[in-house]
Amino acid sequence: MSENAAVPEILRAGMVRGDRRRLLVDRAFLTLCIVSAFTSVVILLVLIGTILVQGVTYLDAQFLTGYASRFPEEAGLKAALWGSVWLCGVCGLIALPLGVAAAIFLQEYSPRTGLASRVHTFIQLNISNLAGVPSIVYGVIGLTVFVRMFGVLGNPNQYDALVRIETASGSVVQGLVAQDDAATLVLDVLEVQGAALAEGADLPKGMEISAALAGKDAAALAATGPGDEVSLVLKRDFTLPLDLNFALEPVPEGVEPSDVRVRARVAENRPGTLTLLDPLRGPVTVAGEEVRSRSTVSVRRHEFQLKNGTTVGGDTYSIDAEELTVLRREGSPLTVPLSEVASYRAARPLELGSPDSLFYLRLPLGGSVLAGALTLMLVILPVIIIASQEALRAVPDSLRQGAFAAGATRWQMVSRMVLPAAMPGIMTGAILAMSRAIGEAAPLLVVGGFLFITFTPTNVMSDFAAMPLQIYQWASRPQEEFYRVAASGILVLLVVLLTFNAAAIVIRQRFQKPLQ
Amino acid sequence: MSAFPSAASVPASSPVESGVLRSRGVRRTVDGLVGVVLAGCGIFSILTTFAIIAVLLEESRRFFASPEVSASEFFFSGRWSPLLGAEKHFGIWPLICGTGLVAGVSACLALPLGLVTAIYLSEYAPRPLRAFLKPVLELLAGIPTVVYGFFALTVITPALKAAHEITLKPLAATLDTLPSWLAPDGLVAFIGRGIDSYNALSAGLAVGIMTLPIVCSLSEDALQAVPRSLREGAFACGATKFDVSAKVVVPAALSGIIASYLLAIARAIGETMIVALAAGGLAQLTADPRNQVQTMTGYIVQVFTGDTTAHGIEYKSSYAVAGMLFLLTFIVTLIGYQIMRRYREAYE
Amino acid sequence: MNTQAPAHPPQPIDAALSPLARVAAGGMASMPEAAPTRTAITVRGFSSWYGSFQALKSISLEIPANRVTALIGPSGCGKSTFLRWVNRMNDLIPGARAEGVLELHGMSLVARETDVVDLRRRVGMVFQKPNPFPKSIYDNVAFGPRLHRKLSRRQTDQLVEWSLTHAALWDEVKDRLHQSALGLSGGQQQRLCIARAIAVGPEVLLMDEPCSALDPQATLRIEELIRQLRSEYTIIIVTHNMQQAARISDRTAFFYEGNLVESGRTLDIFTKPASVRTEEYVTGRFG
Repeated sequence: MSENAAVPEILRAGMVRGDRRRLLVDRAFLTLCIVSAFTSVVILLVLIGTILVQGVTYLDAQFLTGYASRFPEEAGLKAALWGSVWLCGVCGLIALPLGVAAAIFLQEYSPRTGLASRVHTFIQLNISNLAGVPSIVYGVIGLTVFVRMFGVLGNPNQYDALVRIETASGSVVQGLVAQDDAATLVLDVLEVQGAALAEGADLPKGMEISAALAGKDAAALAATGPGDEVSLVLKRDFTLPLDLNFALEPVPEGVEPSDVRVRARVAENRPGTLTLLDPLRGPVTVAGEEVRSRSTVSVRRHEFQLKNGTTVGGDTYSIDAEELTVLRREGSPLTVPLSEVASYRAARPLELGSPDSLFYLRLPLGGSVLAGALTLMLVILPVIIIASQEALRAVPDSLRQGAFAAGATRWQMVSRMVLPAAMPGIMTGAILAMSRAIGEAAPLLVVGGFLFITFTPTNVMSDFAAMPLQIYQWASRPQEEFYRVAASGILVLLVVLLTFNAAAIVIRQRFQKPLQ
Repeated sequence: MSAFPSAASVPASSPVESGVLRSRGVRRTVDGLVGVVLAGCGIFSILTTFAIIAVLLEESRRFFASPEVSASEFFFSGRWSPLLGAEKHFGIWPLICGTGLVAGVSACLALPLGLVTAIYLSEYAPRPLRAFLKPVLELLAGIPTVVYGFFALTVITPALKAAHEITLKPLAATLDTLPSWLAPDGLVAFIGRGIDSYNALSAGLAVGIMTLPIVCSLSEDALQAVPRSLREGAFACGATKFDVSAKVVVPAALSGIIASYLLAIARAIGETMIVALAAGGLAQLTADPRNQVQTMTGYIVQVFTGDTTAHGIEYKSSYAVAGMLFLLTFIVTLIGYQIMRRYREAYE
Repeated sequence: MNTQAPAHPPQPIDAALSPLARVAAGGMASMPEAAPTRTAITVRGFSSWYGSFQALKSISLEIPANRVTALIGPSGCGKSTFLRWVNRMNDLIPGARAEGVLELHGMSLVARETDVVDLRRRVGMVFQKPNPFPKSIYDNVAFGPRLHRKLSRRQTDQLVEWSLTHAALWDEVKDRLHQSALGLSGGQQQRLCIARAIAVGPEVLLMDEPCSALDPQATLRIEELIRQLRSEYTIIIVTHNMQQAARISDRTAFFYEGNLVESGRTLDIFTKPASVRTEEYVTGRFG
């Protein structure tokens, strides 16, 4: 190593670090860099490789056209696929205009005056923070705001059927049943007519009702005692999911579906539940988790007409042997002796249109496609806004000045100059945001739960399945055979996402060049 | 016709005057209306934030107002058992511990790996390699988290178990042959303990893989923002590439790198599907990532997918947990963005 | 002094010579004539390319040790390219390559096996815009030496003081050595960069338009400093400022479109240039 002779002693102080060692460190670091950079490649390869190996087993046409099933070889993705299409479609229709409009406001309409400009800055800062909120928190918000609507309009629940129960003494109980397990129905009473409550004649004496069951179910006991047999009359306007069709499927010839009677008995060990006796053809065999395919019905409010003419209403109620207690969201519980109660009525939710038509609206939204899509909208809105803002920022100012110079108003400038120029960037961002929405599972899990669904949505009020939810459900099953089914689902999901990403890349490359 | 005709002298047929004149009033009204609508869309994001805060605050208030719960238990107790058992306990710490364990494991993987990869991409990688690696990272970033959860469950956990079989287990067996004063039985048992089928380690690694592209791309942005002149100055002093990267570029980009770390940690804290699939459902205070843990997000999923009624205390408790989760991620994200803005200002 | 003086008949100074040239000639009169010195850098038939673009076309030049050599010429003429070959900064640019001879005291600078790190320690560089690291003043100066040596605290202190004193900055910053270097003024930052460059003990200092981002006052201080450093270092300076070249350099080389048009004593280049192009350039008729 040569040293400059002219350099004073001081510059030659200290021990010289060996050049070879320094070069070695340099080399070692480069190797470390390459290794870690290629770790991500290896991870991606292993991930895709293992999923391919596991997923090909069940990946066939049947998988795409079949519904969920408890047999792995019969399981299909159709409901989830269509559910995802509906969710993303509705979500995109709402989120894209909203997001792009917000981005235009932030980028092109920035006010300079005091308060307005402070609001503007706050919105800008707020959006980056919203992008960092965990998606499950959005799910919780979606559940409260969209699904339940703060409970103001009643609490939506999912039921299997609307039933009428006629008792020997002539009272009629109308209610909604949900199948709890293979042979147990839980009844939520909507209306009680006749002698039952009014006279108290049929009230079982001295019957024990456990605290957990002292809710709405107990009203059924107002009509029947434990061990009593009742007939359920299924009303025509209520369709049962086919897989659970314990009543409609085995309709004997010559019998009107509207009048199918099913005999059931009030369970002795669990008062308040009905045990099916005679589902026309054999016992009902349904696995526990498959019971979840239900239709959402909200009970807005429970109202009891008292004999003195007043009405007592509340969010929920309980009945024990002697007394009726009405619980209200605000205020203290009200307790009335049962003998004072004349009749009961459950106020139904707000509805618009028929459940079978495309235009059907119901409040609260319940675990519907609309509620899911709105929740997803909350998740991807910050993503769309940030991406659109970046696209708008990339438009050169000369375009804006040119438009203004030609006498355009701000909106004319934005709509005719800036937006067309920024469109490719906005669309790329929008597509990437939609692919985020397609893969998002956590908020949907909170909003809709994972359902065993064997139909595709007919309107925005339908219950839904979604691809990531279905994959989660398969992957969380104890049977390892379902891992393969989950892997097949993942393959379909990844293909959809890759298509989205490819579209984004094509748009970026085809349209964005002339701008720069 | 003169070169500069006055308005009056323009014949009616002049192309300049053709067409129907748009009313100035209409144009101005449209412009104003559009402005209001756009502002409304912008303000929607503020409404969202207020909705989040209001809902979480109000429902948490109801939770703390319940007779079964006290705020002191929630914040200071170490037992969380709201769903099972006769006596319910609501001490948030086991959930925070589980969240911290998973986020910690993920940070151990993603932060160093992400930074080194970013350094490679920004300082070393030749252009064609960069053009190959960037899309790979984008792909990793685009994979839904439920897929990572599945990967953790079916690949990482079995791999960890296999690794345990050939490392810690033989080590424990060897230690067992030593006299007990040298290798206490407790220690041997601890080392040889198997890995749970659901465990924080596997979930944390998957979360780390998920946050890797975030660290990498944000750190790379920060490194790229360091002016070239600084690199040249360092090279001119006789620095090797390693010297330049480690002693000049990384320190100069430090705030941006820290911001990327914080944002990645916020994502790890809020990650749901991976922990729901791979981390288990037992809330416990533990520092051993081989154990199964429950995170805050995991608990929320458990409540809302279970059969709890909307009036139950468990249901309300999930709002308090969601509130904590929101607060935690919000603070981390906020600090991250503040730091990021500072480094942007430094170079602009 | 280089014996290879430009071979051209002495021309009388044109009466119409620009005021600039006269200033230059006058300025140089005050500069003491240096004793002859050995050649530090030898360039023979040196060409360079960026991809397919040829930036330098077979130039030959001798740069004497312990002298200031100014490289002048219009933008894009190749002078910066040449400068960046001397300490191989061009290695950082993909597609840059060179042919021909470029030697520092007989050691090839462009050979593949040349240890670039060692080379850059011997050839320091100061850039157009001051580029202090976002560290303290002290750490900026100590950066280079710490790369190459293990230093005790006391040694580092001494070294930092020596370098800053040599860069004529010590008195201004000695009370705030541990504050950020970004808080210094532009001129101070540039002197700090010079201190940083000389702290590793180079023989050659390359300066790429070191004053173009500075105000006149700061420029004067840097020029003064360059004159002081001249006795210890071989300095090559790229400049667009003709007066500056005239004021501080002993020798001048004029580049045009990748060619070395002419080189020689600064006085000669400015008062009796051999080439018409040189004359046109130094008198400000183009460039």
